[in-house]
Amino acid sequence: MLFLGVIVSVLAPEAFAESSRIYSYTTQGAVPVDLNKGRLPKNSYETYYLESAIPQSSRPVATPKPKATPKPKATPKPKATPKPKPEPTPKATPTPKPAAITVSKKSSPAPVAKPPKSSPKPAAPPVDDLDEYGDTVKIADPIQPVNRGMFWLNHQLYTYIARPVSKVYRTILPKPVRTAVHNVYDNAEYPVRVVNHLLQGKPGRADLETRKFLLNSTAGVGGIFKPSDRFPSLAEVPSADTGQTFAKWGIGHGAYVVLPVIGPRSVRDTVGLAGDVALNPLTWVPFGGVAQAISIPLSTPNTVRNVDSRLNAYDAATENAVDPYISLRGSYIQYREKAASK
Amino acid sequence: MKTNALLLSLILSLSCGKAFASTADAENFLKKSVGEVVEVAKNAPDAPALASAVRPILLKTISFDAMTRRAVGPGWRQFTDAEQKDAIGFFTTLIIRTYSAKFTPGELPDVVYKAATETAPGRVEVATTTLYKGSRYEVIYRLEQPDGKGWRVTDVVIEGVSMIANYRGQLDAQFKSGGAGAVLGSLQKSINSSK
Repeated sequence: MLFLGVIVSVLAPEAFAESSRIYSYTTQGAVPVDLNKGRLPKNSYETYYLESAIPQSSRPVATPKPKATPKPKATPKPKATPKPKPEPTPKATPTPKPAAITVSKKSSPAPVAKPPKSSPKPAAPPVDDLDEYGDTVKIADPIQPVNRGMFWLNHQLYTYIARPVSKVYRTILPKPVRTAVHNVYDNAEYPVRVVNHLLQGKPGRADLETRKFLLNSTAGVGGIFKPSDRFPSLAEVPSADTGQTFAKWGIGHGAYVVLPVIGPRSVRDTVGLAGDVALNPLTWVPFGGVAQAISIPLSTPNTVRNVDSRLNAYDAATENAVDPYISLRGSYIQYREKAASK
Repeated sequence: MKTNALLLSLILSLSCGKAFASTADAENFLKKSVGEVVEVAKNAPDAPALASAVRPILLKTISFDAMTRRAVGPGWRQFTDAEQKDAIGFFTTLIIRTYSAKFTPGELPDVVYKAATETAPGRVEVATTTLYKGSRYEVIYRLEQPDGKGWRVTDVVIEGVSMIANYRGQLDAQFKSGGAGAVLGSLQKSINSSK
């Protein structure tokens, strides 16, 4: 407040003097301060109050104007001799002092009528039971019409392409095989998790992730099986990705976007996705020539199993929704907030 | 001094004991209810049969009244009594469908209960790890005592996604666009269009 007062008084002393009268407490009650060109007295250790902070009953009846008013025509009035008022007791004036301008806290004589320093603040309104979830899902969605268009397009892609592919995948491959496919690719994405654990400053988790990888790669036959699930400490290592790392670094979501095929993301997580792709060994196989012949069969099952799991998440968020677009957006943001908080 | 210390320890032990009893009661209530749902899911022939079979269990387990009010938000005060009643009815159907849709008949979840915590007086959260269809989910049940007597579930949070917060975002938008009528219309439409 002092800082604000100083800035205002320096930049516009006249305005300061005109708009806000300053008081100090003396044995005679609240007395207006004689401002010198809108400035507080130099080298003063007194505590000053804006007029609004002084109880009405404590103010002088005839408030004299400060000596240094910008209007030259104004007749100078006699210097502050306010009408003595009965000394208000702190009990009778429980006014908060939000606008006190304290020049210094050095031993100022305690004025008799000074309002109590720890005057009770008005009680905060109780949290509205109905508004408990008001702030749970918050993200900027400035391009909502575009996002809704993309959401519609993705819905068509999921309905007419992804869902039939998923159905064929589920029909051809029995559940144990699908689980094995999922496990192998999940195990192969170890670098994404371990690097991000380290970037988040969690070497303990990186250690557990490495143990999990080694165990599943050896005893789990290249990751087909997941013996790590038998050890709670390894089974419950939270996942980590680049978007989460950005969140840990204090970077906010930014705007909400719906990407083609991929679906809901925030700007932060979209950038994070690029980091995840770079860290994923499956993307290290170069394209073109002989390598492409290896790359396509290598990545296709991963794409299909991703489609399958993405559809599950999509269905969970949009089925029984009142507005599937808002439901998916809310689910995504809550899920990512939770992941970042782990 | 000694008397004061004794009194303090007595008060502390009584209050802690009461809190412990609350969380334990809530946890036991939840375990019993989830056990009943799982039992129904085991024997249900298909999804619609499952939804209708779990309905009586969920009606005595979940506070649909509290869920609906919070899902609508402060706009709830502008609903007439009849509109509130309709909204609770529609939302109950929707929640039962949403919850029962998480289960596939014949596939049983393996639920591990973690320590329940009292988040506020009369409010308890029970965290669980649920292994279902080969995937591990963190599911938190929020329970309250709406009438001061029995425990009721007021929210289910799956992998950080709160069921009520999610509906709140949707219904809030509806309310802002067309008031109580728009909320009721959208709930009705969702019920009719859901599988």
